[in-house]
Amino acid sequence: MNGWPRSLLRPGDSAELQGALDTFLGRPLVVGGATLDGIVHGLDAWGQALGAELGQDVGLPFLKTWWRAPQLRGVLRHEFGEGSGLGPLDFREVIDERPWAPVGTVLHWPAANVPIQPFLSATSGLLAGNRNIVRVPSALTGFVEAALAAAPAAADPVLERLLFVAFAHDRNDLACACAARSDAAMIWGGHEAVASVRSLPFPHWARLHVFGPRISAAMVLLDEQTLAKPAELQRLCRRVARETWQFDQQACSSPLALYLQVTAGAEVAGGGREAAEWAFVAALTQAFEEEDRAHPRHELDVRTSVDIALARTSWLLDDQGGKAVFPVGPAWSILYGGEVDRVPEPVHGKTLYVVSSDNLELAASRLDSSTQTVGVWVHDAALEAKVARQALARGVDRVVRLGLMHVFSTPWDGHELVRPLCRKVHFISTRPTERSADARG
Amino acid sequence: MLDGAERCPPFKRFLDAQRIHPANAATLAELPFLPVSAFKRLQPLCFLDAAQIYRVLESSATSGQLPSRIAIDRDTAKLMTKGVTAILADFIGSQRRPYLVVDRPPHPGQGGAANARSAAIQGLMAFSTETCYALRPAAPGEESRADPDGLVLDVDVIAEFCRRHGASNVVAYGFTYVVYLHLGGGLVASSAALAGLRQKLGGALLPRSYLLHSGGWKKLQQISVDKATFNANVSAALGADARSVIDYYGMVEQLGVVYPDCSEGNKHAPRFAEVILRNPLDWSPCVIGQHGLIQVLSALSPSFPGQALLTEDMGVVVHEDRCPCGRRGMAFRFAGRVPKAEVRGCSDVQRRRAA
Repeated sequence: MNGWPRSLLRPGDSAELQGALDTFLGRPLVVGGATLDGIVHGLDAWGQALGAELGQDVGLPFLKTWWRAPQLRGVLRHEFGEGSGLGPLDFREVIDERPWAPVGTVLHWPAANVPIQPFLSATSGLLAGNRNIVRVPSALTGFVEAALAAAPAAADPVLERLLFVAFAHDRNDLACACAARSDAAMIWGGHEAVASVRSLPFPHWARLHVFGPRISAAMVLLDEQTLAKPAELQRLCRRVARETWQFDQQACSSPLALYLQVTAGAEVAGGGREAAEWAFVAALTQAFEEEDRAHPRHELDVRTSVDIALARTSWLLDDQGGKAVFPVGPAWSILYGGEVDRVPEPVHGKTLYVVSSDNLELAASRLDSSTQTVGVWVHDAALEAKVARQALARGVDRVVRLGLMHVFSTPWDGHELVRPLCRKVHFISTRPTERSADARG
Repeated sequence: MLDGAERCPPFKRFLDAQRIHPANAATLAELPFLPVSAFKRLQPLCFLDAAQIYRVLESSATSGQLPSRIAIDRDTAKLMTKGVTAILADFIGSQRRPYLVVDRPPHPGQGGAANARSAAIQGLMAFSTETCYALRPAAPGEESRADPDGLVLDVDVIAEFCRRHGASNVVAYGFTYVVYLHLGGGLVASSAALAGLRQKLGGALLPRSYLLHSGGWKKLQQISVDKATFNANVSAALGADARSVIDYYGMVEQLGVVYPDCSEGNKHAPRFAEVILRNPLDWSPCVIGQHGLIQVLSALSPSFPGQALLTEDMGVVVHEDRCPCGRRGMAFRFAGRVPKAEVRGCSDVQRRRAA
């Protein structure tokens, strides 16, 4: 394991990987009173050290925030509760009767479309006190290597629990070797990746936690208050643009369609429903143009490029009254004006369908568990609650205000992030506890 | 384009939504393009009334997918034939000659609809003095010698054709994979039949033939057959020069224009067409050495919006002008199909929907 823990392992064959796993998993890990602090502060210090050498990935600022010590402790408090111990790493001299223990070794299988995902996933395993094997997709090796190179000495307690391994997706022998040594897995990605990782030979006790594939949507109630105030309309549209831009609309939390309901008041104020919708689309166009100037795309896979052209064309050619706004190239597309509540196949690549809706609550009731997040902009609190209730009941896992769709937090996809990587164990001492002895005395 | 839009409201909507309306386009590159898959629909996208439709051409389609459907009138059909004839005459000469089709004869019930294979065969009829079909459906008991379409070499017919025209200039055509199966060594039974025929006729079968083929290399790439091997095998089977085996690129959505390989292995647009390779990132035209999406433009499709089409094929620009073969304009090479689906991240729901 040359260079470990600050380098990415690129095993040539199964024997090399097995040797590295023996070394990594064979090193004793001591858990004491300072362990949780060591890991939390190690992540915090590592986050602060991540700089320009990692490029301009939009997720980087988020990772730096996510790794702040108060944020990490907040996650643990949220999952384990105040005053009851913050999981397996929260060392107590006197062992509880029902303490938390790590599951052991967690295999993380992140998707290739979100560069910070290997680190976000591994953080869950770390906070649960586990060793972590992180399979790095080939598209992310540069990012991971740069992040490892930036890790300060304070991150050593973190790094000794991490092994980053890179190999091609068709190296089933290497994937099998990783799975066979893991007690749990966090699997992120598309249908194919999930099916393929699930089929690996994990031990029978291994717990597999699957995240994806999902899609997301936005829901906007265009009311008088929003329509009449240009600043408010711009604020709304900027949020939609940012949600669409992050991760090039390929994350499970990216909105692919936006349901737009115009209130009766806004219809009157806007000169009719169509005019009100157009006012929204015009403001959204401006926001998309500004976002594109600020964050132009640097690469686009050829299939998405073709799909964008086809999505625009199909939307306009189909006899559903579809209209569209887009620049000359494939940078972004706003497709609007089709039939009420009609949502075509999602496309990605900053192609947003603005879907007219008569009733957002009804639209929410038609969603299912293929939708992960609904980002809402609904000033009517009662309607917002109805929309949320419908969506959550139908299988949606997150209903958040627009602007927070990509904010990774616990729970995610209906899972908590740390507790599923722990075991709730049982300890009954052969001797009475000090407290009960005192009570008797 | 503008004339057609007046007769086709959906196409007009498409044009009106463009940042640069075709009426204001200063260059060919500024004209809006339709993706070829836009023609995969039940009702053909065309500028014709039902009574004006002469034929509906269909592309081959994988199971469960709609084929492209291209409606043409008689005038367009004539233009397309003229286009193909003019292009191929530049490669094989303009004289008419015996025509060997590496396919089966048209069968009853084929009707007015034409698939890409039959349309391509039809396109070369202008060169033909007589036509001979080299394949036939396998008879009972011959199934093991047949290709996946159930076709075998019609040895007797080929023998007679070779006897009569072995010393003449001949043109032959077939779909690339079909040619490989029957003339390129893909089917053992066909190879053996041809060897027997060569022995019987005392040597080369058609030494003065040009063999044209089209349809793509996907299946051959899967079995690792490259162009050099293909050319060597096929030319050896006919006893012709390897340079007389000519691959051409074309599509049913723009049937009047084909792009044969020149002597340098490059492809060129004729005077009535143009090719632009577009960078997938921003759709800007590519420069020498860059790979891009192939966009084809043609003046030969007055009955449907095939004037500017974005294909799902990749190409590479070899010369911006002055190919050593002597042809003018941009020279490019085909560089493969766009993959069906890129591996995406956690919002990849495409495969699940397809399943």
